[in-house]
Amino acid sequence: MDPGFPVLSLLIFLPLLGALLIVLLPGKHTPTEWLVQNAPGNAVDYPKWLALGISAGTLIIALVMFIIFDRSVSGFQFVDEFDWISAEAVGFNVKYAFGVDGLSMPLVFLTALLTVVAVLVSWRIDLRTKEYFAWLLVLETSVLGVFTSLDLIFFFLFWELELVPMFLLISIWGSGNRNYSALKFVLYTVFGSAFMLVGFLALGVAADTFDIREIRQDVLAAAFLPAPAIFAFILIAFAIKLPVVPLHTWLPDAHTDAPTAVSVMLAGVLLKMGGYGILRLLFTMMPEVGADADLALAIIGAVSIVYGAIVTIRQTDLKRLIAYSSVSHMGFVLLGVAALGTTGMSGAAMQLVTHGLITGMLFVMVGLVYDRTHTREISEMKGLMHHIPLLGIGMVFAGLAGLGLPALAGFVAEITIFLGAFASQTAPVSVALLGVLLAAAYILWALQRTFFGPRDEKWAHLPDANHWSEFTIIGALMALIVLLGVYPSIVMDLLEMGVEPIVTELEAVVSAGAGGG
Amino acid sequence: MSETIFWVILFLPLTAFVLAGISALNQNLQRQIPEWDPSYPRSWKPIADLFCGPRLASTPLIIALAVAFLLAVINLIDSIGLRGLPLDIAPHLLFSAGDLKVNLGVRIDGLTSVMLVVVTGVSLLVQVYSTGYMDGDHGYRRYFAFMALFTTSMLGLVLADNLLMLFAFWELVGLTSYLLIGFWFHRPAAAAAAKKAFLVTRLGDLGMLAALILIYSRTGTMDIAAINALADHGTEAGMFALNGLMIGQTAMTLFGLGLIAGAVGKSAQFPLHIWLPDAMEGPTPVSALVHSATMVAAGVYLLARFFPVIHASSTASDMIAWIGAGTALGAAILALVQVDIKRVLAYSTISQLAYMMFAIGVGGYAAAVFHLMTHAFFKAMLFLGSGSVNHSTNTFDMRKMGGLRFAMPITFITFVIGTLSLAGIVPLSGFWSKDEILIEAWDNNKGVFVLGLLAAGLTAAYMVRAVYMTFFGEYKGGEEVAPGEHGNEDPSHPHESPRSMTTPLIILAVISVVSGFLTFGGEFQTWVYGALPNPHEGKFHWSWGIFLGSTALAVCAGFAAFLFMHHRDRVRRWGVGGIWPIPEMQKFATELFYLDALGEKVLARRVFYSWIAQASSWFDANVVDGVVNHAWRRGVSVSNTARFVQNGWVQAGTLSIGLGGVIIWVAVVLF
Repeated sequence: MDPGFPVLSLLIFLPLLGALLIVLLPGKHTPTEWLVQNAPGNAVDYPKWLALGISAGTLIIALVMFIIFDRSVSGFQFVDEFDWISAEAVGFNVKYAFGVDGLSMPLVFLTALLTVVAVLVSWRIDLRTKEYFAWLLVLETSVLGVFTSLDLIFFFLFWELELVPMFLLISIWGSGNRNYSALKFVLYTVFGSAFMLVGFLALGVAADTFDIREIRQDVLAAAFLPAPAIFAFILIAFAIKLPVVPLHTWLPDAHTDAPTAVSVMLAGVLLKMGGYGILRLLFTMMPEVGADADLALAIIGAVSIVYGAIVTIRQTDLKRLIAYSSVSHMGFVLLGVAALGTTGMSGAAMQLVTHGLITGMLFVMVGLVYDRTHTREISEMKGLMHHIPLLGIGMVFAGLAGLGLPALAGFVAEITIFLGAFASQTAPVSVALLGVLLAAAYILWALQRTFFGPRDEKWAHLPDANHWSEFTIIGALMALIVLLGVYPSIVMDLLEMGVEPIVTELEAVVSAGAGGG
Repeated sequence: MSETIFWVILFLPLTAFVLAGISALNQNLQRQIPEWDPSYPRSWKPIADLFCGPRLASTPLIIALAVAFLLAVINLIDSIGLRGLPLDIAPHLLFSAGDLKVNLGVRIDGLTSVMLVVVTGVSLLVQVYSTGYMDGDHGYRRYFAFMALFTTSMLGLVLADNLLMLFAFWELVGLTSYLLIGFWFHRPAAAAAAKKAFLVTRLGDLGMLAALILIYSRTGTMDIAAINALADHGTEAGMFALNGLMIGQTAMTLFGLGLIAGAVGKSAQFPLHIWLPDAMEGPTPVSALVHSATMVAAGVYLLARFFPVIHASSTASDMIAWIGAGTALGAAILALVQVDIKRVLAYSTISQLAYMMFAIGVGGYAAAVFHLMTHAFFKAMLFLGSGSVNHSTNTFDMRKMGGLRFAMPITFITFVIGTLSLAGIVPLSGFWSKDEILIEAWDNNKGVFVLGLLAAGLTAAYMVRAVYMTFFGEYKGGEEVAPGEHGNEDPSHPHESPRSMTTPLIILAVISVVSGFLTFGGEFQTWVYGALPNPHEGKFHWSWGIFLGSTALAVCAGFAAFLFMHHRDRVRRWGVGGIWPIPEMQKFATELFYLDALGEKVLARRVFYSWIAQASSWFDANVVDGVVNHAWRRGVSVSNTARFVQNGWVQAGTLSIGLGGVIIWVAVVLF
């Protein structure tokens, strides 16, 4: 698809421009009560409306791209590229190159969608709103950049750029032990990126290009590091991001202390960068090493699923509980990738999308409940369903989606991964099945303790969902989760298209290896 | 019948679900209106009001079910004409991922046709009953929304032509069961029971999921007909092969065992039966429809569906035969000591489902399906009868009832008909199906037969005891309405239930009397045999010996129970406290064989939660995270030490340069 117009660059940089605009225009700081923020008489808060407009605009562009995306040809579409640093001048070649294929298109749409959700869920923020919304939009640009970069250097730049808004958003607008959590998040990521950068440089120097589309296994003989080392270096960064056990402990802290919108972005799209990177970079560029690493990945995945779920059950903070459940759910991605087949990898990619929607919604619901109760301690809540039934319905729905109920999106991804991976990874999949039971246990038990049970007059004053922004978010996410649950083709076909080239090369190297050995 | 009809049957209750859902949501939205943002369009309110009436929740569902029932009956007549052979309907591709093709399709044969009639018929009657029973409940709309969703899922389950679709609907009925058990979520017991039901059945579902994954990865298909045909074609070499599909005996056995695990969970068989008695926390019509007539029978349906698979492996078929026989007897023993009428019926349901299970195990495929059908009718009626009693006494505790036969004549008569049918008294429907099962067991497995026969005797005993405690003797006054609940304001004067409740009882009573006659001539058997890969004519089994033996046993046991209940005081004076003469045995039974305690207190709470999960989360906080934090702190302290050097003082810098110079000079001079 070539629209004859750099639509992808526009998509990526529109939020950044929007952020600049927000910073330059005057803001309105009114320390109002959160419930009457929009009552008549309160002046309009420019930053949030601007942020909404810009993120909605980005979403519309992403939606149009999603619709006009040509599903009949594989490969990258909407490609914008030119030489950024040419080899003649400095000895290495960096390209400004962006494009989307079947794998990244749904993730780009997810990012644009969840940014709108993040803006709406922040509607009642009244601390330094200008900066807040500006950083949120910068975050969007950086994530979109990661999902669309076709050049390792740009991939790395956007990967690092994301740290700045995240650090500030958590440490300024967060709660609890926010400075510790923000720093922990940054240190973990930077620790991984350091390895990643070495891996990228080794690849780029050996291949004489940083273009993801061109770097392939055969250049690795010339690299200054052995191929498995490069693979492992890059994998560390992605494994931290995903995250997998035992590199996961930054995640619950970051989630717990982050503001709601940041949790939504973190769980919804930032974690996906790890899974995306594994598929897009590691398995595309180094299929031979990837094929050898399949058992290790499957075991790590299965351990993450089961161990993550067991630890989740013991959590006493509702938000932390959801955060730990993410560790468990992201294990499915590794399991699907380790299947090394189209089915498993499509399932893994599907899990990225569905988990983004479902866990995004769970964090939205927890955030909306927290706005009202001002506590996240499960033991302090009881019978909330009597007082905030609409939020309760949203929470139960999101919880059921999270435990993999059929007809909702999560089931499709999980069953596809199981069916795809069982033949090659029998033992890890068998262990991972336990995760299905454990997920039901932690979610239903949490619901029982917080929303069910007798009335608690302590919460009688709580207002239910009562703002259009809340209805919009809940309604839209529910509709999408049901849509993907009953008609997954709409996304699955794209993802399948995206992973097929990877699998083709994998099969080629595996059969060549088998022939040679 | 064209395929569209079946999608219509499925979508009718789904539409009712959407309407009832809108109505229920609106109820909550309306509560919010005064608090709504003033900018919200006020003009919406009249439209919102339009969708808020409680009848919007119930009426569409009843209409939808009536139409669906009619279509199901027409289909059954068609199917009878075809001798139950399957219709040729191609599935539709829902989505694909690589080699995986997930289809949506319907399989229509004798088995499906019978199930469609049972599900829509019982559901229709129960919904009519519910309009009376739930009248005035705050959650009326929500109730019908859940019920509509349940019926949709249940219909999807029986229509599915592939295992994945079946599994999806299987989980959805599990969800609706969860929602309906926890319908009165303000009661902690209901919320806990709902969670327990979901988790225990999901434990079984893991087996089914594993079976699904296994069969797909070995054969590449999930189509029910293809799998059954494959299971029917065993070769000499211990393999199954047909049309290019192939699978080994071990894999086939494991597949069968996985399905059995799913069925054991869903149909509440030993040792996963512990959720069903607790599930009685749900509204009584839910117990009638979901937890006796349809959903819990889904496990039996599953094994009947995959009958050739179960019998492709003697391990699998023996296992289900013995699980069934053991559960039939064990649950009957427990039913005899319950004081809550719904719990008596719950254990009775477990016991009767176990009959169907061992029938499948010993090869009585048609007998199992036949008992499934007759049981659905009379057990639904018994549950609705207990609900009718509750409607006027506000209690399910039989110790607070008694003597209701005059105040509630219709309830009493229908309940007795149900009891006779359940106890297997000729010529009621339960007799024919139970006898059929016992004959099959006698022919194939004597041990199973003995357990089944003993259970049949106990069945008569516990039902007579329940009838006596509820309807005979003196009325003990019921129970006052709990604060915040709705019920009969004057339980000291019990009265017959409204017509919306008694009519379904009467209809079900008639069906319970006559539905057994379908078995004459083997017609019914022929229809359901049509669903198998090798359809054959059914025949009507009859054995005078078993007829006389089982009837005599039931009558004697029932009479003994009656005598015991009637002369309770005298028996007490002899020093016998419970209905089980040995006190240890009585205690063992009232403690439910300690299985509930073992599962919940020991395994779930202690071993899993307090040990495994506790250890894991300690490990996570102190080792995985602890190591990192420790390294971090060490790093910070090392940096703090090192920071001393970089203090930015010009003097210190100069001093260092000087010192460095001296060191270099010394080094140069020395070496």
